[in-house]
Amino acid sequence: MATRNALRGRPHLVYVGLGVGGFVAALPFVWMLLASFMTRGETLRRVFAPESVQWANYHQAWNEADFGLYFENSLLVAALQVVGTLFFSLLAAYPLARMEFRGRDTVFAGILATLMIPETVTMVPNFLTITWLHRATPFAWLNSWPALTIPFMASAFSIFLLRQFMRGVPNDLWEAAHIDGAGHVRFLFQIMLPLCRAPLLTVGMFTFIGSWNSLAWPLLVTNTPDWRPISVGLQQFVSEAGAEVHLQMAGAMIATLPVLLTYFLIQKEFTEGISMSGLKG
Amino acid sequence: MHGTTFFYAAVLLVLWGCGGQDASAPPNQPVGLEELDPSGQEVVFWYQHTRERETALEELIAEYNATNAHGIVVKGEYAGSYGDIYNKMVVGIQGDALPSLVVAYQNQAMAYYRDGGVVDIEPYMSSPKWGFSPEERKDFVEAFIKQDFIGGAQVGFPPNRSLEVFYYNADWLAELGYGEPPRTWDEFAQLCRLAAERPFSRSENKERSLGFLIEADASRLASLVFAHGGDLANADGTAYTLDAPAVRQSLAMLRELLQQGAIELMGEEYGDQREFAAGQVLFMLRSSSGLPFVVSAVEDGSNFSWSVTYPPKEVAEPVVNVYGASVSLCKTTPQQQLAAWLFIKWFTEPAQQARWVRASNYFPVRRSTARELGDYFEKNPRYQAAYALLDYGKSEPSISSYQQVRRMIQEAMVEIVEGGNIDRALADLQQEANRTVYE
Repeated sequence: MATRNALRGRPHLVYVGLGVGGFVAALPFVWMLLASFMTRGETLRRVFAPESVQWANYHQAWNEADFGLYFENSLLVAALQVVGTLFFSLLAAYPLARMEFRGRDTVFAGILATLMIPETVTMVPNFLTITWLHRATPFAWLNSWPALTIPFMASAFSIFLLRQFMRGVPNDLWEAAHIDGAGHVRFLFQIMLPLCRAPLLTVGMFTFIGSWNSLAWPLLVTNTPDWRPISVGLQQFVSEAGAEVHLQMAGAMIATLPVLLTYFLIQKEFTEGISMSGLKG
Repeated sequence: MHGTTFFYAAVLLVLWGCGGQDASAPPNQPVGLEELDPSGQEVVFWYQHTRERETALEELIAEYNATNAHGIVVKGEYAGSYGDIYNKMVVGIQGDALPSLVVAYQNQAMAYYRDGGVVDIEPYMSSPKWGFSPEERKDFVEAFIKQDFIGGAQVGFPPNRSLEVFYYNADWLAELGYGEPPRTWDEFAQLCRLAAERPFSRSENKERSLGFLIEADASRLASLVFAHGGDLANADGTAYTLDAPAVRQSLAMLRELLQQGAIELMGEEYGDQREFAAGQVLFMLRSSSGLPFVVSAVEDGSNFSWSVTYPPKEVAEPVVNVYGASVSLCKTTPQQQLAAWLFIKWFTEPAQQARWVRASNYFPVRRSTARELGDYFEKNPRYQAAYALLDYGKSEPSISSYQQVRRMIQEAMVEIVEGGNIDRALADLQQEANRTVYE
């Protein structure tokens, strides 16, 4: 409190602090951008900026690691995962937030408890389930999109986020809709859904980033490039002999752009979604 | 990145242990091997190669597919780094989702074998119909094949090998008044101190000048320990010897040099290559397979004269850490296993070995390959210099828990080199490492 009072009336100090924080946060990204335009010699000598901009790095990175295919795969997998996660999270969050039934809080506590299980621990059971499904069903699960998306469509964090938001929606809306003859399904999709825009976009953003950045699971369930994501493409620039830093950074820039773009597009809703769900610190 | 890989590996290993695999399961011996027909089999091969090496390997595979008499079709698949492949194999063994052939280090192959994921290759090697003739068998460097013979089984077969060689900046050495690389560790230490005081004339950043960048890595330590006359495990591979005098001497030397500012711990992956190429580090300990990478990096960097040799030593003969992943035959069907073996056999023939050497810069495993590499030796004198060290090769432990122990070694190296209590750290390391042997 004393610090806050001391800063009041001295906004320049706040701006300097924020500026320093922003600079530190942006520095790795700026370095990645600059290194992506360097020659290999410049990355070896650790110069700060390239003498001349090497656009060819992007061309080479795109072509050498088959980035076109990986990029397309990542987009498709992320889109499927976002749609699936939103759908199932919405259906799970609504009854936990708005319906009274026995054991509701226990179910919710159980879902929350799964947040404490590290992803690596569920990897083996997930893989065994997927291989069993691959053999037992007529669909190809391994080396295809189902293995990459379906296991992650039930997300405890997304359910929690949406449930927190839905609990804050006034009950009057439900009562009015109920008087007009709406059931829970209609209320969910016609009234609640439009209200949940911000948390839905937040959930979508988190899911998109998670899917886009995943590496260990895709490598486990795919053996060919047909469905492999862009993170696998980035790995191609590191060999046993050494890393091609300039190409790696050009590849990383290409891989980062969709995430940045998505964030800039939904920045306002993202912040709103986080603050409304009670996650704000 | 490595941290994550090891974390995954550790978690998977624990889960694997809980998975009820029968560690005493008998190895899958081919029944009626001579009568088997491998015709038309599909062989899936998981490897870690990328870019030029992957292209060359795929070309060789395509040639095999087009020319083999049995209509065997090999499908090469990039399966990630060694760590990723290990993870895939660990879960693949449980889920029965295995390839036919997989790249594996000796300790990894042993772990797969123990859990019934790979089979003993010896029956294939000695098969009168499908195996090697006595002349062919003699042509192989026996020490390489023996690296994969663990616990009475041939758990892998070497398609190539590398050495951990000592890279040195010859121009900088000359500036320091030395015409030869250091031959003893005392000389090495002296030169590291000199390098820290007198930067290389062609270095662009004279503020930073070091003798050596040590990577906290078990293979780097193994090289140092071997050259101090020691080993990381006992001769029969039943226990680690990580508190032995040679380990202590190696780490004490590094610690002293670090405290004097003559060397540093490597903080960035491949940082030693980058700084060596930039003329900021005088020596480097690295795989011989990285030679072409260093050639182009130095050309792009400070462009100086450099070469490779054996590490400084405290023993009469040079000792060089020889390593390299082998390929293991996964437990599939007898026909598929045979087909996979036939591909390995073809791949290790001198003509194919020579092509693979040219593309990968690995060392061949058959002596007669050298006859086909005359022009390559001529064009790549540093490769030839490294090749001449093959007779001095010594391997790291083939104990199946070595993967876990590597991580422990890495942590102990950092602790000791940064000033921790060397006696306590090595005693703890030895105890923890040996516990993994009996688990």
